[in-house]
Amino acid sequence: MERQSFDREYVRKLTEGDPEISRHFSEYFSELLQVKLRFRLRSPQLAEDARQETMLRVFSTLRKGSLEQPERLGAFVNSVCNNVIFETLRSHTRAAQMPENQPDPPDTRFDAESNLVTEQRKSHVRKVLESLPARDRQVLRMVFLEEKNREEVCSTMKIEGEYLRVLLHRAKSRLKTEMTKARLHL
Amino acid sequence: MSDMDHRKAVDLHASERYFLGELSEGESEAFEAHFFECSECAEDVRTHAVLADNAKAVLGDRTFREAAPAQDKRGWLGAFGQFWGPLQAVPALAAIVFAALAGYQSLVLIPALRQPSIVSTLTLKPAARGEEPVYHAHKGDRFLPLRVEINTPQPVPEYHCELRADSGAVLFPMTAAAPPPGTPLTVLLPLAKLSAGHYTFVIDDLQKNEIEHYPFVLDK
Repeated sequence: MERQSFDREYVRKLTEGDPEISRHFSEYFSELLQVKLRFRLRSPQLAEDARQETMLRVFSTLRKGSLEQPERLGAFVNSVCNNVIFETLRSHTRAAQMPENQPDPPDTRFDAESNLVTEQRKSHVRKVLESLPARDRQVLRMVFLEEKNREEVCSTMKIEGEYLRVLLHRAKSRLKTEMTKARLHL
Repeated sequence: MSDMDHRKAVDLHASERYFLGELSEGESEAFEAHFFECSECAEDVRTHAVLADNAKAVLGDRTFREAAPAQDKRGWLGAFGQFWGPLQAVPALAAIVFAALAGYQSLVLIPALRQPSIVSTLTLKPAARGEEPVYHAHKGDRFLPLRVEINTPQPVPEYHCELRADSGAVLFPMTAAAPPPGTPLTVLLPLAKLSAGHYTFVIDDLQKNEIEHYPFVLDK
Protein backbone atom coordinates (compact mmCIF):
# COMPACT_ATOMS: atom_id res chain seq x y z
CA MET A 1 0.00 0.00 0.00
CA GLU A 2 1.21 3.50 -0.85
CA ARG A 3 2.52 5.54 2.01
CA GLN A 4 0.12 8.26 2.97
CA SER A 5 0.04 11.68 4.53
CA PHE A 6 -3.34 13.13 5.29
CA ASP A 7 -4.59 16.64 4.55
CA ARG A 8 -7.82 18.64 4.38
CA GLU A 9 -8.46 17.53 0.79
CA TYR A 10 -8.15 13.84 1.72
CA VAL A 11 -10.54 14.25 4.66
CA ARG A 12 -13.00 16.25 2.53
CA LYS A 13 -13.10 13.53 -0.14
CA LEU A 14 -13.41 10.86 2.53
CA THR A 15 -16.32 12.70 4.14
CA GLU A 16 -18.03 13.09 0.77
CA GLY A 17 -17.69 9.36 0.15
CA ASP A 18 -15.15 9.48 -2.70
CA PRO A 19 -14.88 5.74 -3.55
CA GLU A 20 -11.11 5.68 -4.13
CA ILE A 21 -10.27 7.61 -0.96
CA SER A 22 -12.78 5.60 1.07
CA ARG A 23 -11.23 2.35 -0.15
CA HIS A 24 -7.72 3.60 0.64
CA PHE A 25 -8.74 4.80 4.09
CA SER A 26 -10.45 1.54 4.88
CA GLU A 27 -7.50 -0.62 3.73
CA TYR A 28 -4.84 1.55 5.32
CA PHE A 29 -6.39 1.78 8.76
CA SER A 30 -8.06 -1.64 8.84
CA GLU A 31 -4.69 -3.39 8.86
CA LEU A 32 -3.21 -1.09 11.48
CA LEU A 33 -6.30 -1.49 13.64
CA GLN A 34 -6.15 -5.23 13.16
CA VAL A 35 -2.56 -5.33 14.44
CA LYS A 36 -3.32 -3.16 17.45
CA LEU A 37 -6.61 -4.82 18.35
CA ARG A 38 -5.26 -8.36 18.11
CA PHE A 39 -2.38 -7.30 20.33
CA ARG A 40 -4.72 -5.68 22.86
CA LEU A 41 -7.77 -7.93 22.82
CA ARG A 42 -6.24 -11.28 21.81
CA SER A 43 -9.56 -12.73 20.63
CA PRO A 44 -9.89 -12.44 16.81
CA GLN A 45 -13.67 -12.11 17.10
CA LEU A 46 -13.48 -9.30 19.67
CA ALA A 47 -10.78 -7.62 17.58
CA GLU A 48 -12.90 -7.75 14.45
CA ASP A 49 -15.96 -6.36 16.27
CA ALA A 50 -13.83 -3.57 17.73
CA ARG A 51 -12.32 -2.78 14.32
CA GLN A 52 -15.75 -2.40 12.76
CA GLU A 53 -16.98 -0.28 15.66
CA THR A 54 -13.92 1.97 15.41
CA MET A 55 -14.37 2.51 11.67
CA LEU A 56 -18.07 3.24 12.18
CA ARG A 57 -17.36 5.87 14.85
CA VAL A 58 -14.60 7.48 12.81
CA PHE A 59 -16.85 7.81 9.72
CA SER A 60 -19.69 9.10 11.84
CA THR A 61 -17.50 11.82 13.42
CA LEU A 62 -16.00 12.81 10.06
CA ARG A 63 -19.43 13.20 8.50
CA LYS A 64 -20.32 15.63 11.27
CA GLY A 65 -17.28 17.62 10.18
CA SER A 66 -15.76 17.64 13.64
CA LEU A 67 -12.11 16.82 12.79
CA GLU A 68 -10.20 20.06 13.38
CA GLN A 69 -6.73 18.86 12.37
CA PRO A 70 -6.99 16.72 9.21
CA GLU A 71 -3.23 16.02 9.25
CA ARG A 72 -3.77 14.22 12.56
CA LEU A 73 -6.29 11.77 11.12
CA GLY A 74 -4.13 8.82 12.24
CA ALA A 75 -4.01 10.07 15.82
CA PHE A 76 -7.77 10.52 15.74
CA VAL A 77 -8.37 6.93 14.53
CA ASN A 78 -6.02 5.67 17.25
CA SER A 79 -7.83 7.59 19.99
CA VAL A 80 -11.24 6.31 18.83
CA CYS A 81 -9.77 2.80 18.84
CA ASN A 82 -8.50 3.31 22.40
CA ASN A 83 -12.01 4.24 23.52
CA VAL A 84 -13.48 1.18 21.82
CA ILE A 85 -10.87 -1.07 23.45
CA PHE A 86 -11.60 0.41 26.86
CA GLU A 87 -15.35 -0.11 26.45
CA THR A 88 -14.88 -3.63 25.07
CA LEU A 89 -12.69 -4.69 27.98
CA ARG A 90 -15.03 -3.09 30.50
CA SER A 91 -18.15 -4.75 29.09
CA HIS A 92 -16.45 -8.14 28.94
CA THR A 93 -15.13 -7.83 32.46
CA ARG A 94 -18.62 -7.03 33.67
CA ALA A 95 -20.24 -9.79 31.65
CA ALA A 96 -17.96 -12.59 32.78
CA GLN A 97 -15.30 -12.48 35.44
CA MET A 98 -12.69 -15.10 34.66
CA PRO A 99 -12.06 -17.63 37.40
CA GLU A 100 -8.64 -17.27 39.02
CA ASN A 101 -7.28 -20.57 37.73
CA GLN A 102 -8.51 -20.09 34.21
CA PRO A 103 -5.69 -20.90 31.75
CA ASP A 104 -4.47 -18.04 29.57
CA PRO A 105 -6.38 -17.69 26.34
CA PRO A 106 -4.42 -18.65 23.26
CA ASP A 107 -2.23 -15.95 21.79
CA THR A 108 -3.90 -15.15 18.53
CA ARG A 109 -1.77 -12.26 17.41
CA PHE A 110 -0.67 -14.21 14.36
CA ASP A 111 -3.61 -15.70 12.59
CA ALA A 112 -3.18 -17.91 9.54
CA GLU A 113 -6.83 -17.33 8.63
CA SER A 114 -6.52 -13.54 8.74
CA ASN A 115 -7.22 -11.36 5.74
CA LEU A 116 -3.51 -10.53 5.62
CA VAL A 117 -2.87 -14.01 4.21
CA THR A 118 -3.01 -14.27 0.43
CA GLU A 119 -1.48 -16.81 -1.96
CA GLN A 120 0.82 -14.14 -3.38
CA ARG A 121 2.07 -13.06 0.04
CA LYS A 122 2.47 -16.69 1.12
CA SER A 123 4.62 -17.36 -1.91
CA HIS A 124 6.93 -14.44 -1.04
CA VAL A 125 7.10 -15.39 2.62
CA ARG A 126 7.86 -18.99 1.63
CA LYS A 127 10.77 -17.71 -0.46
CA VAL A 128 12.05 -15.63 2.46
CA LEU A 129 11.79 -18.58 4.86
CA GLU A 130 13.58 -20.89 2.43
CA SER A 131 16.43 -18.40 2.10
CA LEU A 132 17.10 -18.54 5.84
CA PRO A 133 19.39 -21.06 7.52
CA ALA A 134 17.55 -24.06 8.98
CA ARG A 135 18.16 -22.92 12.53
CA ASP A 136 16.63 -19.50 11.91
CA ARG A 137 13.61 -21.17 10.33
CA GLN A 138 13.27 -23.27 13.44
CA VAL A 139 13.34 -20.11 15.57
CA LEU A 140 10.63 -18.48 13.45
CA ARG A 141 8.57 -21.68 13.57
CA MET A 142 8.61 -21.45 17.37
CA VAL A 143 7.65 -17.77 17.29
CA PHE A 144 4.98 -17.77 14.61
CA LEU A 145 3.54 -21.28 14.46
CA GLU A 146 4.07 -22.69 17.93
CA GLU A 147 3.54 -19.23 19.48
CA LYS A 148 6.17 -19.78 22.16
CA ASN A 149 7.01 -16.72 24.17
CA ARG A 150 10.32 -14.93 23.72
CA GLU A 151 11.96 -16.41 26.84
CA GLU A 152 11.08 -19.96 25.84
CA VAL A 153 12.37 -19.51 22.29
CA CYS A 154 15.65 -17.99 23.49
CA SER A 155 16.18 -20.64 26.13
CA THR A 156 15.35 -23.60 23.84
CA MET A 157 17.40 -22.33 20.91
CA LYS A 158 20.17 -20.93 23.12
CA ILE A 159 20.02 -17.50 21.56
CA GLU A 160 19.95 -13.96 22.96
CA GLY A 161 16.88 -11.74 22.72
CA GLU A 162 18.94 -9.46 20.49
CA TYR A 163 19.45 -12.30 18.00
CA LEU A 164 15.70 -12.85 17.84
CA ARG A 165 15.08 -9.16 17.15
CA VAL A 166 17.74 -9.09 14.43
CA LEU A 167 16.30 -12.25 12.87
CA LEU A 168 12.82 -10.72 12.74
CA HIS A 169 14.26 -7.52 11.31
CA ARG A 170 16.18 -9.47 8.69
CA ALA A 171 13.17 -11.56 7.67
CA LYS A 172 11.04 -8.44 7.44
CA SER A 173 13.67 -6.65 5.30
CA ARG A 174 13.89 -9.63 2.97
CA LEU A 175 10.12 -9.69 2.61
CA LYS A 176 10.12 -5.97 1.76
CA THR A 177 12.85 -6.59 -0.81
CA GLU A 178 10.94 -9.52 -2.33
CA MET A 179 7.75 -7.48 -2.56
CA THR A 180 9.60 -4.52 -4.05
CA LYS A 181 11.28 -6.71 -6.66
CA ALA A 182 7.92 -8.16 -7.58
CA ARG A 183 6.56 -4.59 -7.65
CA LEU A 184 3.91 -5.52 -5.14
CA HIS A 185 2.61 -3.30 -2.39
CA LEU A 186 2.09 -4.81 1.00
CA MET B 1 2.34 7.49 28.23
CA SER B 2 5.51 9.08 26.87
CA ASP B 3 5.78 10.43 23.33
CA MET B 4 7.63 8.50 20.69
CA ASP B 5 9.08 10.08 17.57
CA HIS B 6 10.41 8.25 14.54
CA ARG B 7 14.04 8.41 15.63
CA LYS B 8 13.17 6.93 19.01
CA ALA B 9 11.04 4.20 17.40
CA VAL B 10 13.95 3.21 15.16
CA ASP B 11 16.55 3.36 17.92
CA LEU B 12 14.34 1.29 20.19
CA HIS B 13 13.65 -1.32 17.43
CA ALA B 14 10.09 -0.66 18.49
CA SER B 15 8.47 -2.55 15.64
CA GLU B 16 10.26 -5.85 16.37
CA ARG B 17 9.93 -5.41 20.12
CA TYR B 18 6.21 -4.63 19.86
CA PHE B 19 5.59 -7.92 18.05
CA LEU B 20 7.77 -9.82 20.48
CA GLY B 21 5.90 -8.31 23.44
CA GLU B 22 9.11 -6.74 24.76
CA LEU B 23 7.81 -3.18 25.13
CA SER B 24 6.42 -1.92 28.42
CA GLU B 25 2.76 -0.94 28.54
CA GLY B 26 3.66 2.74 28.21
CA GLU B 27 6.07 2.09 25.34
CA SER B 28 3.47 -0.04 23.52
CA GLU B 29 0.87 2.72 23.79
CA ALA B 30 3.40 5.33 22.67
CA PHE B 31 4.45 3.20 19.70
CA GLU B 32 0.82 2.58 18.69
CA ALA B 33 0.14 6.32 18.83
CA HIS B 34 3.25 6.83 16.70
CA PHE B 35 2.61 4.25 13.98
CA PHE B 36 -0.91 5.58 13.43
CA GLU B 37 0.70 8.88 12.44
CA CYS B 38 4.01 7.80 10.90
CA SER B 39 3.60 6.25 7.46
CA GLU B 40 7.07 4.67 7.60
CA CYS B 41 6.44 2.88 10.89
CA ALA B 42 2.93 1.98 9.75
CA GLU B 43 4.48 0.21 6.76
CA ASP B 44 6.94 -1.51 9.05
CA VAL B 45 4.18 -2.75 11.33
CA ARG B 46 2.13 -3.92 8.36
CA THR B 47 5.12 -5.83 6.99
CA HIS B 48 5.55 -7.55 10.34
CA ALA B 49 1.88 -8.51 10.39
CA VAL B 50 2.04 -9.85 6.82
CA LEU B 51 5.20 -11.79 7.67
CA ALA B 52 3.74 -13.20 10.88
CA ASP B 53 0.40 -14.32 9.49
CA ASN B 54 1.76 -15.68 6.23
CA ALA B 55 4.72 -17.38 7.93
CA LYS B 56 2.27 -19.14 10.20
CA ALA B 57 0.34 -20.34 7.17
CA VAL B 58 3.50 -21.45 5.32
CA LEU B 59 5.17 -23.13 8.30
CA GLY B 60 1.94 -24.98 9.06
CA ASP B 61 1.87 -26.35 5.54
CA ARG B 62 3.06 -29.96 5.45
CA THR B 63 4.70 -29.49 2.08
CA PHE B 64 7.10 -26.94 3.52
CA ARG B 65 10.41 -28.62 4.17
CA GLU B 66 11.18 -29.23 7.81
CA ALA B 67 14.29 -27.98 9.55
CA ALA B 68 17.21 -30.41 9.40
CA PRO B 69 17.57 -32.62 12.49
CA ALA B 70 20.16 -31.51 15.02
CA GLN B 71 23.60 -33.03 14.51
CA ASP B 72 25.76 -34.72 17.09
CA LYS B 73 27.50 -31.77 18.72
CA ARG B 74 30.26 -33.84 20.34
CA GLY B 75 32.06 -34.31 17.02
CA TRP B 76 35.63 -35.46 16.50
CA LEU B 77 37.04 -33.31 19.32
CA GLY B 78 34.85 -35.05 21.89
CA ALA B 79 35.83 -38.45 20.51
CA PHE B 80 39.53 -37.45 20.70
CA GLY B 81 39.13 -36.45 24.36
CA GLN B 82 37.36 -39.67 25.15
CA PHE B 83 40.18 -41.73 23.55
CA TRP B 84 43.09 -39.93 25.28
CA GLY B 85 41.43 -39.01 28.55
CA PRO B 86 40.97 -35.36 29.52
CA LEU B 87 44.46 -34.76 31.00
CA GLN B 88 46.43 -36.22 28.11
CA ALA B 89 44.18 -34.94 25.38
CA VAL B 90 45.15 -31.24 25.55
CA PRO B 91 48.98 -31.56 25.27
CA ALA B 92 48.66 -34.36 22.73
CA LEU B 93 46.33 -32.31 20.60
CA ALA B 94 48.55 -29.20 20.91
CA ALA B 95 51.59 -31.19 19.77
CA ILE B 96 49.76 -32.63 16.78
CA VAL B 97 48.40 -29.23 15.78
CA PHE B 98 51.82 -27.57 16.09
CA ALA B 99 53.57 -30.26 14.06
CA ALA B 100 50.89 -30.17 11.38
CA LEU B 101 50.97 -26.38 11.18
CA ALA B 102 54.74 -26.16 10.91
CA GLY B 103 54.85 -28.90 8.28
CA TYR B 104 52.02 -27.40 6.27
CA GLN B 105 53.60 -23.92 6.29
CA SER B 106 57.06 -25.01 5.23
CA LEU B 107 56.10 -27.74 2.78
CA VAL B 108 52.86 -26.50 1.25
CA LEU B 109 51.77 -23.00 2.05
CA ILE B 110 54.94 -20.96 1.56
CA PRO B 111 56.03 -22.71 -1.70
CA ALA B 112 52.50 -22.43 -3.05
CA LEU B 113 52.29 -18.71 -2.30
CA ARG B 114 55.44 -18.13 -4.36
CA GLN B 115 53.83 -19.64 -7.49
CA PRO B 116 51.35 -17.89 -9.80
CA SER B 117 47.90 -19.47 -9.83
CA ILE B 118 44.63 -19.15 -11.69
CA VAL B 119 41.47 -19.11 -9.64
CA SER B 120 37.86 -19.45 -10.67
CA THR B 121 35.50 -17.07 -8.92
CA LEU B 122 31.88 -17.44 -7.95
CA THR B 123 29.83 -14.50 -9.16
CA LEU B 124 26.87 -13.64 -6.98
CA LYS B 125 24.14 -11.58 -8.61
CA PRO B 126 21.37 -9.77 -6.77
CA ALA B 127 18.49 -10.72 -9.06
CA ALA B 128 19.43 -14.43 -9.17
CA ARG B 129 16.41 -16.68 -9.03
CA GLY B 130 15.90 -20.42 -9.11
CA GLU B 131 18.89 -22.66 -8.57
CA GLU B 132 21.57 -21.41 -6.23
CA PRO B 133 25.01 -20.98 -7.83
CA VAL B 134 27.49 -23.69 -6.88
CA TYR B 135 31.22 -23.29 -6.24
CA HIS B 136 33.20 -26.49 -6.74
CA ALA B 137 36.30 -26.28 -4.58
CA HIS B 138 39.27 -28.37 -5.68
CA LYS B 139 41.95 -30.01 -3.61
CA GLY B 140 44.58 -27.43 -2.77
CA ASP B 141 42.24 -24.41 -3.11
CA ARG B 142 42.79 -22.10 -0.20
CA PHE B 143 40.16 -19.45 -0.82
CA LEU B 144 36.61 -19.18 -1.99
CA PRO B 145 36.73 -16.06 -4.20
CA LEU B 146 33.39 -14.27 -4.43
CA ARG B 147 32.56 -11.50 -6.90
CA VAL B 148 29.50 -9.86 -5.41
CA GLU B 149 27.44 -7.63 -7.68
CA ILE B 150 25.64 -5.01 -5.62
CA ASN B 151 22.68 -3.29 -7.12
CA THR B 152 21.47 -0.58 -4.79
CA PRO B 153 19.72 2.63 -5.83
CA GLN B 154 21.43 4.59 -3.06
CA PRO B 155 25.11 3.64 -2.79
CA VAL B 156 26.62 3.75 0.68
CA PRO B 157 30.33 4.30 1.46
CA GLU B 158 30.71 1.08 3.44
CA TYR B 159 28.96 -2.24 3.75
CA HIS B 160 28.64 -4.72 6.55
CA CYS B 161 29.10 -8.21 5.14
CA GLU B 162 28.80 -11.65 6.68
CA LEU B 163 28.44 -15.25 5.65
CA ARG B 164 25.60 -17.25 7.15
CA ALA B 165 25.83 -21.02 7.27
CA ASP B 166 22.75 -23.20 6.94
CA SER B 167 23.18 -24.05 10.62
CA GLY B 168 22.58 -20.42 11.53
CA ALA B 169 26.22 -19.68 12.33
CA VAL B 170 27.42 -16.22 11.32
CA LEU B 171 30.91 -16.35 9.81
CA PHE B 172 33.45 -13.69 8.89
CA PRO B 173 31.51 -10.53 9.82
CA MET B 174 33.40 -7.62 8.26
CA THR B 175 33.08 -4.04 7.11
CA ALA B 176 34.05 -3.39 3.50
CA ALA B 177 34.54 -0.14 1.64
CA ALA B 178 32.11 0.11 -1.28
CA PRO B 179 33.81 -0.55 -4.64
CA PRO B 180 33.51 2.06 -7.43
CA PRO B 181 30.06 2.09 -9.11
CA GLY B 182 29.62 -0.79 -11.54
CA THR B 183 32.45 -2.77 -9.96
CA PRO B 184 31.70 -5.93 -8.00
CA LEU B 185 32.89 -6.42 -4.45
CA THR B 186 35.59 -9.09 -4.35
CA VAL B 187 35.81 -11.19 -1.22
CA LEU B 188 38.19 -14.05 -0.43
CA LEU B 189 36.93 -16.47 2.19
CA PRO B 190 39.24 -19.09 3.71
CA LEU B 191 38.03 -22.46 2.45
CA ALA B 192 39.61 -24.28 5.36
CA LYS B 193 36.97 -22.83 7.64
CA LEU B 194 34.09 -23.83 5.43
CA SER B 195 32.53 -27.21 4.99
CA ALA B 196 30.39 -28.19 2.03
CA GLY B 197 26.83 -26.94 2.22
CA HIS B 198 24.42 -24.08 1.69
CA TYR B 199 25.51 -20.56 2.60
CA THR B 200 24.13 -17.07 2.25
CA PHE B 201 26.37 -14.05 1.79
CA VAL B 202 24.58 -11.06 3.30
CA ILE B 203 25.29 -7.39 2.68
CA ASP B 204 23.82 -4.80 5.02
CA ASP B 205 24.33 -1.11 5.40
CA LEU B 206 26.09 -0.05 8.59
CA GLN B 207 22.74 0.24 10.39
CA LYS B 208 22.28 -3.49 9.69
CA ASN B 209 19.48 -2.89 7.18
CA GLU B 210 19.80 -5.62 4.61
CA ILE B 211 20.73 -4.47 1.14
CA GLU B 212 20.97 -7.86 -0.50
CA HIS B 213 21.53 -11.53 0.25
CA TYR B 214 23.05 -14.15 -2.03
CA PRO B 215 22.45 -17.83 -1.38
CA PHE B 216 24.96 -20.26 -2.87
CA VAL B 217 26.23 -23.80 -2.45
CA LEU B 218 29.79 -24.82 -1.65
CA ASP B 219 30.81 -28.20 -2.99
CA LYS B 220 34.07 -29.64 -1.61
